[in-house]
Amino acid sequence: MIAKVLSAAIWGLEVIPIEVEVEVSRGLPVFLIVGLPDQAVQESTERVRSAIKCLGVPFPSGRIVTNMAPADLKKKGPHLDLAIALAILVHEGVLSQKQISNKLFLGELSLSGNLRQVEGVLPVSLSIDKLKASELIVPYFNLNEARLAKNTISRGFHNLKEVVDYLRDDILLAQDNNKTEETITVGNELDFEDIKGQRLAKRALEISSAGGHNVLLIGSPGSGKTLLCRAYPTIMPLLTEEESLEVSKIYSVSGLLKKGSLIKVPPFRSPHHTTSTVALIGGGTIPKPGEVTLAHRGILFLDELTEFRKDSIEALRQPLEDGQVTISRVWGSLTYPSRFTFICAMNPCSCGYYNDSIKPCNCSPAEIKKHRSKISGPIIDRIDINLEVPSLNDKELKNDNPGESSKLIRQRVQTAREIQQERYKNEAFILNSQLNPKAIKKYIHLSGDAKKLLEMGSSRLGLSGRGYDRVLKVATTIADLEGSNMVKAEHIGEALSYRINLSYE
Amino acid sequence: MNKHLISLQYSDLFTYRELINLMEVYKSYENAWLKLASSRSLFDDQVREKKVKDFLNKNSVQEVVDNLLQENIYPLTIYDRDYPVLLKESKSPPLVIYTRGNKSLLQEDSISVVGTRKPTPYGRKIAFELSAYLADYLTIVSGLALGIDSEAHKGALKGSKKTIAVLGSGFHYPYPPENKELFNNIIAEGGLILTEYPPYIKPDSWRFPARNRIIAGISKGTVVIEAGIKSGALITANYAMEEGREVFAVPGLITNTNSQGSNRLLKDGAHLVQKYSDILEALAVFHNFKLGSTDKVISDGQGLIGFLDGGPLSAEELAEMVSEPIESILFKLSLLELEGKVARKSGIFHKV
Repeated sequence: MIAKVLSAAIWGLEVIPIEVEVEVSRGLPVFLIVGLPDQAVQESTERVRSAIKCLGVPFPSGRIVTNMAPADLKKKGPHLDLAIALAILVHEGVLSQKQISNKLFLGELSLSGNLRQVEGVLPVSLSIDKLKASELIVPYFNLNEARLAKNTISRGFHNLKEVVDYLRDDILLAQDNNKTEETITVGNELDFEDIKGQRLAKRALEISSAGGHNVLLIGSPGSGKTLLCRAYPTIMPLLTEEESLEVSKIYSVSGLLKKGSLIKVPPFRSPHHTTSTVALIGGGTIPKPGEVTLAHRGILFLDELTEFRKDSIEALRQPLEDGQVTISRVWGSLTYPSRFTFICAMNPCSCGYYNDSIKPCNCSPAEIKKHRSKISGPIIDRIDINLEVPSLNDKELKNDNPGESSKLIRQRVQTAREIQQERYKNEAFILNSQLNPKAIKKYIHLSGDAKKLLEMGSSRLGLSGRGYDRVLKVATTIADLEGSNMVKAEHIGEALSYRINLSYE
Repeated sequence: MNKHLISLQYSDLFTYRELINLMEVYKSYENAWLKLASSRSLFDDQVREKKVKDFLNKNSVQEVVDNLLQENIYPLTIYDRDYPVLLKESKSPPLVIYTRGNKSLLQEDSISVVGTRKPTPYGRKIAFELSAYLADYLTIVSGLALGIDSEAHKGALKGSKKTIAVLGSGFHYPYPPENKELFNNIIAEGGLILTEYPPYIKPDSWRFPARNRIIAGISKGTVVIEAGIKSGALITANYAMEEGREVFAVPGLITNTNSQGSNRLLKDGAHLVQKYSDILEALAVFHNFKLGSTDKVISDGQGLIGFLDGGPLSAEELAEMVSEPIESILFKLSLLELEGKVARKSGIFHKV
């Protein structure tokens, strides 16, 4: 008799049902796995063999063939161990086919039969209906994560024996209680009120947070760029439930959802400048999400932007523009979401003090030019708010006036976002930064003076078409922060000031 | 409102020069009216003398004005506050103008857009688009003639609807009859019709060049789009030049006879219109940028400049010094930057 057990594989962020079949026939003792297993799956034969022995059940002798359907999909990861072991147990008559039907199994086995934590539980749990199962069996350590999907019945067990006991005799663990703990972790101690001065940069970041605008900060070392950016998450509103599930799913697939609680705080990713393009964008034989995807609905912060490899920065163009990234490999192509706010910081020149009011710069003009040309036009074009942060002078450093607290700023941001959500309720996008030229025409209303000023600005400053739209988008966010339903001259005027001339003059 | 001047001009019995002389001799038109009605033999011409006497005796000044107002025609004299300032400054301003429509346009900066009555499709298109664009900043003045003039008015109506049509005849006989509908549209949509002729005056070919002096006189500049070598538009351009106003010409094909006049203007030194905003640049409309009443903010950044006298400062330092929120400082600095009064270098503002 052929035993069948249901499990699942993750392909990108999608969940695909896997049927594990086991057949034992006479012949030389061999344990084969077919259906494009990767190394980790291949090696599960040893773990399964040992785990079944530890259960006290004799391991079948003969030729064991395990098939994983669909056969053309590459299977990876050890989370199929449990399903394979159960399929053998069914074949051996320890369990009946009926006892395991309608249940989906995920779990890695240790040699002693203990269940170990696996990746990708949340997406499976969320789509349990589509997988034609009614119950999800996972390692105990993954139980919290599985139960984030409210409508799914999930059970967690410590080892293979507990699973078998449950399936045969319906014995549940004593500590099993179908409850999830809701914890919101705001793991950021940095607050805007702790950062001295920098009213200009704080204002720019507030606008960025409200409208999802990308920001470039240029300033000398020690001007506070990094500090400000690190405090940025504290002025971002918490993720909505939908966003939260979306982000948690990505983290689950990447094995980063360790605590098993939903991610409520917008993610803040700050890869080091030595990071590779693949790590940034995503990749691998079977592509894994990169930093751009891990920053989805949150912030991707590139400090020392000029130190990043040029091709890494250029690779950000598509994710910045489309809000998603498509990675193609031999096995096919995968699309991951990447709707993040891009925050980056750089020094004005390689020594860092060009135009600084305190320290002299010792770079030659050619060096400055070279330093600045590392950032290409197309990338600059995608940044709405550009800012030069002058370094603090003594007076400001001694100034003990606390600024506004992050909480206060976050409330204003929240209000501005609600205005946008209401305005764009019939659209696919939710933030001003995502407006396309057509939507700009439809939604943005300028006062007469604002129109005049913008016209004047664009002819005086030689704004490109994209530059023109950028000013409009930022001005709209400024108007939203103020609660004005019309973009006025002062909003345009302020928006015009968030631009920069990167060429060396 | 100087009712006596209006009535004397309305009679069409006096030339422009004579009306001015009346003022010089009798010091006021009321005085002139009384003297003309009572004294004998002021004129050599007996027939004219009789005509004048008849008119003065049969009409009261109040009646003349009331009748005009009843027809929705609002007369303005050169002594009225509402009389357009630029027109008053021009060489021979009409003593009385008759208006119908939105009088507030007379107080606004305007530009005239003129050209041939037989334009090419290109000329039509440019006249329409240019006027629609400029109407956001300026009032578009033209002569309600066929061709370029009509397109200019239509373009303005498509834009902010600020347009003034200057007639070469009285209100009872708008010319050309084909543009009757446009005439009505201009009034209905908030434009203005203006003429120096009393309502009963019929169009006459010699009146059109005279009308052109008003078009040129009322505007800050004149844009010529497609004019033949003898086009009336060139007369307008000439008046504009004499008044020291800016003249613009849109270049045309040298093979097109209707572009010869406008191209010649370019050769003679008119501004070349390469893009529509060139006109705004040259007229320095931008220089005069003032925030209207729609946005209640004080746009005056002059105070800020004073702080920069002592040396360049960052926006933040300025905000600290004048204790204003950073956003309003940024706005003011943007305006100053656009006006070319400050320059920015690495986030620090310098006085220019």
